[in-house]
Amino acid sequence: MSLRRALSSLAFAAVLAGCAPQAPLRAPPPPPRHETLFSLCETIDARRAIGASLQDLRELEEALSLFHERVPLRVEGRLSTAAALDEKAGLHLVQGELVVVALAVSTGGEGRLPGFSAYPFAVFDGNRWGSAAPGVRDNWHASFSADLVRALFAAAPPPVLGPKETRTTVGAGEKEHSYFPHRDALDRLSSAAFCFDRDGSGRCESLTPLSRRGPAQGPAEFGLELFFTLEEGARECHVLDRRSVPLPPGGTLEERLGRLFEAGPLDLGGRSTR
Amino acid sequence: MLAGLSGALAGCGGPAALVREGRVDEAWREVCQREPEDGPSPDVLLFPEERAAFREALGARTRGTLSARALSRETLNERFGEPVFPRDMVILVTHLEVTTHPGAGIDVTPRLVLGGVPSVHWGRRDTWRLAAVEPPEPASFGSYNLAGALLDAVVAGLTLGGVDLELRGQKAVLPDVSPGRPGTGTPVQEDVLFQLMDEEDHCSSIHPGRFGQPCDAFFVLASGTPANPDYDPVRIDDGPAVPPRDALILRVEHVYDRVSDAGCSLGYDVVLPLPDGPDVASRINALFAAGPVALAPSSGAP
Repeated sequence: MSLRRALSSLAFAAVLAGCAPQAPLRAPPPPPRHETLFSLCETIDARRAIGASLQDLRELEEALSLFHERVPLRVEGRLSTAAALDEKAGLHLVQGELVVVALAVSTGGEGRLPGFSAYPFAVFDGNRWGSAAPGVRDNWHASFSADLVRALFAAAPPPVLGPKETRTTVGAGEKEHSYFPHRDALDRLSSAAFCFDRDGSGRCESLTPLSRRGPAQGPAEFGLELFFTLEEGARECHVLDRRSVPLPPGGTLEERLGRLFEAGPLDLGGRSTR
Repeated sequence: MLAGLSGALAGCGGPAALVREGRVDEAWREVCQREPEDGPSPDVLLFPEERAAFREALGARTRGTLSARALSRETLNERFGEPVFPRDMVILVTHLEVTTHPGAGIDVTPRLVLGGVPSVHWGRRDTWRLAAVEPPEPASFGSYNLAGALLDAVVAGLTLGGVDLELRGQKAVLPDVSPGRPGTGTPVQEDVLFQLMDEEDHCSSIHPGRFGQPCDAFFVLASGTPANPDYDPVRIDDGPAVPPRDALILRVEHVYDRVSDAGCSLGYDVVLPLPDGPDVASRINALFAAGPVALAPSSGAP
């Protein structure tokens, strides 16, 4: 067999053995352009996809950072009480381990956005804390389980779990007596707890009960999960965002939030957030 | 012709050569397209030099840490005021931070080895079996109403049967779970089991820990075999880890991204020998007392 023929056979066998050139990898996405908030929103939306590459994620982080600079948030907060929440609802609905925060959130920067909503959260004592108001974002069932979440995951030893009627709850109080007043009161409570800029004014206010919602092992912090709506002509684009600040050290969640809010309005934008 | 042949051979080095050329995404995809009979054994898809090449490449490109906190069964019993789990188990809460990674991100699943006996994660409905409590029927998680259920069944049967004859058999439409209903556990047990089943997954192969997006998760670790074991990635370390003694083992899974479009994940174990302590939860907590642990693969066999 000639050398030429042997080499040809070898090449053919190699291809048969699975050495054919691979199909080309997908082309990298074009570099993002951020002339307008809307184009920034589209970049954020596109880079957040499931299966995003590290390059996508870096561009997402850059775009979010730019979005924070161009749409800063000012958050005025104060601690409130369960009684204030009951007063809003018009019924006694709230009991147990809840931290009630009154928030006024306003956007600044470039122009007015068509709308946004804000959901406060905290990480503290081995738990993620979030709104306990029913029907706002998560399923209602979970709001009844704050004491179970505490027993299962809290870092500090909690008191022994009490009977059901003593557990932390938002909304179960008078359910047995009358359905419709109870339902209406829950609706009022949910509405009060939901920070939603209904009229494009760039501002929303809420009175939100925070309760333990799940496990968390990260550093203690307070923040907002945000949902912005942007428009360009007939098109809409949405930005899911998360901005947070570390909690001051020492004390209960209520004490630490109190000190955070007393220090003045929070400026959630630029480099202060994650 | 010689040039053509050398070009063909250059692409024939397989995943190891591609990785050494820095073409990790292409190598990853090639591995996922490989048939089991083309590997060294049906259970091991990669040859030793290929595993070594991937370990080196992923190690160089991965910066991630995990911190964790454990709660023992005894601690949980104290907190609940009664025993919820009759068998020994541990709840592990984890926090994953990743700053650079190949692929779409990292998912970490822990398991324990104590005296040579493995303890693995029991998820969601499996926790009912772990507590030896009859699980709820799939469609009756709330209060149960027999008349309503019968009416629903009749309406559903008529509707589904009318739409598609193939759906008349229940096997085609109901998930494969053990029959039963709540009632064999105490109220606290059932509350806890519902809570564990309802907890959202914040870390998973769909939403892994990734750059800019840390994630928290929890695991219920116990010996035995859950009905729904986790999916195993393609291993890039040298076979199942044999820890020198009791250990917490983190299975690190690199999830493929849209660039490689690989279709499978690559995984390896990080073996963390447990320090001495009065119980397993204390030993795990002592392990993380000095801070989080790094997740890059070791350069050699575990």
